[in-house]
Amino acid sequence: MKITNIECLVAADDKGGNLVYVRTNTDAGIYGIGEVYHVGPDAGSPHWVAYFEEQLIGRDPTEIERNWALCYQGARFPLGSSGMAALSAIDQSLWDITGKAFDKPVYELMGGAVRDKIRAYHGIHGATAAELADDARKYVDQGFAGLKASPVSPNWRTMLWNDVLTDSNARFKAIRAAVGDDIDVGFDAHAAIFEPIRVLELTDALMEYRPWFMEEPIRMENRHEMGRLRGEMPCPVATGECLYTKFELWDLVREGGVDILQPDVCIVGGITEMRKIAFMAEGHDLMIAPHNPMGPVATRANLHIDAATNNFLVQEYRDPSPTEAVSVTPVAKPIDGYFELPEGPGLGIDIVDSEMTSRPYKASWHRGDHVNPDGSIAYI
Amino acid sequence: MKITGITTFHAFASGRNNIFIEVATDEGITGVGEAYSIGPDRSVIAMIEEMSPWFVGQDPGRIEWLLRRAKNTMRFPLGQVAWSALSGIDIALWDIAGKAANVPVFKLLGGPTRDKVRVYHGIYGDSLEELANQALQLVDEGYTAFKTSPVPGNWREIPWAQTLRAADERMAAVRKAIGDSADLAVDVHTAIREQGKSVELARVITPYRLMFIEEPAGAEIIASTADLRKEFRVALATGENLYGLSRYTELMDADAVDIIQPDILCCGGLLEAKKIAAVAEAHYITVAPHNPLGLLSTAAGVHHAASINNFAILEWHGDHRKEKANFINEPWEPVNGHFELPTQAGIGMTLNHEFIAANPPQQWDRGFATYQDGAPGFL
Repeated sequence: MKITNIECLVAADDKGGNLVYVRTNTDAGIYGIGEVYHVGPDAGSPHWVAYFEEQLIGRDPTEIERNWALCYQGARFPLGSSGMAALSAIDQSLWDITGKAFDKPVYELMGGAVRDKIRAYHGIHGATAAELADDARKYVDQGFAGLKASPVSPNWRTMLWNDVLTDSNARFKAIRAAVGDDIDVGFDAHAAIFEPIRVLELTDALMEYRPWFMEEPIRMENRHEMGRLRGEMPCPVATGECLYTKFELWDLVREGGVDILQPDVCIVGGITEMRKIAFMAEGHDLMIAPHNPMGPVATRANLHIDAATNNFLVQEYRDPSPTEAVSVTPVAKPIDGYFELPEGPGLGIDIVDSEMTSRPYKASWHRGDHVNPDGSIAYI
Repeated sequence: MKITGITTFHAFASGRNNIFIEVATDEGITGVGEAYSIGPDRSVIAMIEEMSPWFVGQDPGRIEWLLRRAKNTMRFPLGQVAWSALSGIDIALWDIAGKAANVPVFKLLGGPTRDKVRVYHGIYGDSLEELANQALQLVDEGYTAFKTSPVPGNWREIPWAQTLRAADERMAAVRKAIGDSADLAVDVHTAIREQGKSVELARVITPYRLMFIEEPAGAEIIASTADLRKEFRVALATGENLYGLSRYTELMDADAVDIIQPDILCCGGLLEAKKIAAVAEAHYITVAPHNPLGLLSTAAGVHHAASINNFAILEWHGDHRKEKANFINEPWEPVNGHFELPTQAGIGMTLNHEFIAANPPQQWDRGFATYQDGAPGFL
């Protein structure tokens, strides 16, 4: 079996942003799909896919690890976000092809399922404590026993820090009042707080309601500082979504900067790299909870990894946008907070081409500007 | 598919026992594996019998679940007996998975990452002539990499200064025989437990441009190996005496090693070896599997080598020439110092039950090393 071409399909999401998929075709009629992280400049992704396609045409798609090395090691310079996103999606598509070729779900190529079902948590949002509590109740009513919220109000950058601490405590108090003590509630500071000491103050203000974890408490660039911070943190530190490859995740682990690793299958290097990172974490008695803000293809790839991984904790999940939901089939949803094991062969999910071609790419996506009260640029 | 039974085979040939395993299923597929012949082999066989109920009736494709479950129920850290037993079972389960999917095992592990697998050949002998003659013959056979002991067999009984001179002469003789365009490694085999002596020895033999120095310290104290690595200007290889991902991770995190040498037959099997290799890759460490036991062990090593990106070289002892080659029905030997990738489904080997039955196990141990004063030495 040989790779004949690799397509990159980009469609505008009706709610804003883009969907970016790859489809790797072969001379055997089998194809595989994968999802590219929407890093922002999504028009760049097809160029990266085409760059890798030039090297992969004619190669055996089931030689997953050698194909990965060809792309990664052949680039010499670190790939960066767009390159890693394209490689990650192609890697997923090769696992999909290999599973189909062997007539097995992808998780059976990884030593088989270690669990019967896969736990998920859902994000909750709200401008006010009352809105946040309502959202929490909504997802708990759907059966989720794990939730994640921002530890701070959306407009925290315009507030006095002392007020942020008071408000954050009130927000968590409202969540607990709404859903009780027996729901796991993690917090995602989203690498937006620059000063490590502020995170310690913030986490201390939340501790009376028992946070599940604090995610990306500070920026991701300085792993030494993350290690120092974790030594002081009163609850588990979850991080890693912004890191690429086993090398950067190992650097984080070496610095002692993480309790729960959160690599993203759409940018860390695909399923191949997710596996290696999970192994590295297992060797250190650390858990993984895959980051997953992309669409149903990414969720599907994650479910196969989760099924086969000893040290898996919980899967991040959000309901797909209406466009995402029609762009592929089938779209798995958790029931009572758990996904069933994904069926194969391969990843067990396919692109609905008509839903992609009817929504041509229009523009790149920006996350919006976050500006401090004095006009300086904040982190998002 | 369900596992219906696990059978062990214990047989003696070429001066040592081997432990083979067959895992049978209700679909007629049988997987073969091998557990490391650690010495107290009957304990390994008894352990496999103890574990057998944990596997019978289960889906053989759930390799990770089956192995994790077995490790977890034992609670106390596994030693050589349990790790060897589980490693052999793991290999047999992968053989079943490969046969069920009708592909060689390396294809189920993400490979092949390479087209052929390079080996180095062991060279033995106390006299310089023996060493040189063996090396010359192996060069003629196409091998391009070799490993020998840096010290003569009687080093424990002679003055250390004499050992150092002998080491220099041995390296000179072998290097002269193989020429400069071949790789040469040495194996201290954890026999020297004094750091200062290992450092001195390394300084004497480093000018011969070695591929690596293996096990220059005891395996129990990782810090000791880490200390030596700081002193060496030659690659330090070790790891055959470790079991399981956690212990290898500890070794690598301690900056103690350049090349790790898991033995697939006791490190935990093919899945554990894949995990260990992934951690090694993140540490910029390569993998040279330990492999003294025979053809089936070599096949496991070749499948592993073909499924990882950071493989260096595989140990090999010319086992196709030995009587123990008869344990396996399929003949197999390297060509020009490399093994071709297997093409058969699974591991690609079956057991010769007649030869096994005709060669029952014998009492076996490694012997006992002794210092000049009669105190026990390390082997």
